[in-house]
Amino acid sequence: MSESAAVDEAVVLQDSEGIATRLRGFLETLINRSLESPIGFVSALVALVVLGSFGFLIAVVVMPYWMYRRRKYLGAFGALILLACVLVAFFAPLIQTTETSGNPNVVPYAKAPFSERFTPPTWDHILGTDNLGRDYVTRIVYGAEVTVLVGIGTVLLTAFLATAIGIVSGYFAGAGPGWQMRGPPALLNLPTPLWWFAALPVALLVLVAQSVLRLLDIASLGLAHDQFERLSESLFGQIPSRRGGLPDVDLVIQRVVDVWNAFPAIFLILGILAVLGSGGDGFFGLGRGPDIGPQADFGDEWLWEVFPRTTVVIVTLAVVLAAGNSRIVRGAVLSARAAQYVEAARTLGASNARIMVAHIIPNVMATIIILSSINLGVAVLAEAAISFLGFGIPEPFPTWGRDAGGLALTYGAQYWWMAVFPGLAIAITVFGFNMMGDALRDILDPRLRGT
Amino acid sequence: MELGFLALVVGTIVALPVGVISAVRQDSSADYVLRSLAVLALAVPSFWLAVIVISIVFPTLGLPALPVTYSTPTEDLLDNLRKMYVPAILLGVALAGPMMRLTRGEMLEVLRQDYVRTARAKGLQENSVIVRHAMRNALIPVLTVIGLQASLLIGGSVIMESIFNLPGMGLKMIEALKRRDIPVVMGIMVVIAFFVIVVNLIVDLAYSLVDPRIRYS
Repeated sequence: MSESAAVDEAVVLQDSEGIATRLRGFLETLINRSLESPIGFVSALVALVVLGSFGFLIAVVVMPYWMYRRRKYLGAFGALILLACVLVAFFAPLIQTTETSGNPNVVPYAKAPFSERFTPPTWDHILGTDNLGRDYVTRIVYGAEVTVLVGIGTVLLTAFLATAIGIVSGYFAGAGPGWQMRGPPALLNLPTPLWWFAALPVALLVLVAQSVLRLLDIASLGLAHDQFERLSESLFGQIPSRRGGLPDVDLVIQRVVDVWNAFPAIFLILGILAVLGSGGDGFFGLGRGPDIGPQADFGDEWLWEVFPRTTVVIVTLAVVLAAGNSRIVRGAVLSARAAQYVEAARTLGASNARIMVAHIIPNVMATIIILSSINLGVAVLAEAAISFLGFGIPEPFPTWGRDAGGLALTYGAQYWWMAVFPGLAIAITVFGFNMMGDALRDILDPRLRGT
Repeated sequence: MELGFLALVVGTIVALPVGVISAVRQDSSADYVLRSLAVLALAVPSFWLAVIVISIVFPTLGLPALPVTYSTPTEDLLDNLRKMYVPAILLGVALAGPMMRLTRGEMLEVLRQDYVRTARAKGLQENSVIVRHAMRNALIPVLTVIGLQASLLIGGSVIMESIFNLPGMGLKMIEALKRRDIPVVMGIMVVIAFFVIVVNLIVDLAYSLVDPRIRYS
């Protein structure tokens, strides 16, 4: 996640040579550190998260100008919308138009003066008010917080997960130049069929255990390679064909992704969200939301109150999106793996983890950035859909999806502004994000231009 | 299920000709208009479109309200369609956006191929060239996407069913989720996954209809 943003930054700044070079040097050091020891790995990860967040912010700010200079005017427009969204979300308390007088404990978006309900758009309430008298400008402005939080969080997490899955899967995929095809597991090559049947259960058990050990090894980026190897040897004896003896990680991962993809995304999302719960009774209490009435009293602490639920939504969306995206990343990794520099690195004795981190990730970065920019719109739409169905961020916190759905459906026929504005916010935002994604794809991947 | 099928029909009927037209008349004003419409269809959430249609378009145009009751297609097909046509069109339009873009891209690629030039050189009529030579070859990736959209369709129908109150699997799922009725949720998930897999199989088999080079023996 963080790496994508960091390199994102590198791409954005590629015009000014000095910063980019220095950044690259910094990343190089990080990679070296992270491969040296587990502590280095963790600290590098932390550094990347911090750097990535800053990089993302810088990217958001610089993007419109960059797109404009590349003559991607629609893309620049989209990037401006993203920037506007982030700014509006950040400065929501300053932009909202509800009067701050009255009970200071009532948050602006929940202020419901009964006498002002169903006000059509006027100068006081530019977008009108809803059935409780809550001002739509305020609700949309505060709703941008959720949109930005969920959108960006989902995109970063999806990029991280998809990259991790796709790279491990693609790198260890069956054949390829310079890559030894995996031979059949030695234990199953027993001479007589009788033997074979007798040994089958044992062999399966050993295989499963070996696979688990190998997966753990891979999961730790090969950092604990020797330890796992030694453990494996002491348990099962020496594994023949050390290099080629990996279990078919690719096959296993791809079948899991297949299963994951067989469920329609929205069903999966709804199912996970429902299991995690929404009212404090969820799994591990993860679904805890602000279960307070509309006269909520959490002032500036909204983030703290909404955060657990937002996290659940982000993680759910990311997990579901990542399954599909990892396929595309895997495809890119497959083609990157066949390149000669990978061959050269292997000849120089680089470990698998090093090749993956230092040689393959930078070369699939363009794919990941393009995917992320597409995901941004998808995530916002998905969040709106689940909020609309009542499984997203709970009341009283405003989300665009909920405002565009239930109430609008009930009252929209009589009060047109209730039907139009929240949905319009979603539509414009997603349109801008899509435009930005298209422009980014055109710039980073010229082969796909114009499709 | 029926909703998904209807939407697929609507989407295909809209997307294929529109995509082909927009590719044949590349860079004309019609192309630009159709392309921007497709981009808009991608950006607009379907549930908001439904809300707009119900609360603004219908009263403004004075169209008759949708029937409240539901009858299965075997009981009363006309009544069923009267309830179904709006969600089907909405879902179909949402589906048509990406499909149209893909059709256009593929057609543009195919129209530059040698065999299309050969067909034109043979003196075939332009219509025949486009339909028999170009479209058939452009359809293969589109077919893949239609297969992939099957899952999206079932997903989109969740929202449509809950807005238009159609007693389908999506609505059942939502109700079960709200009641935390996990066994029912699991059952629906399994059934839906099964349908998605079957649709993907059908798409795989349909390749051989479109492309004679692909054969399953």
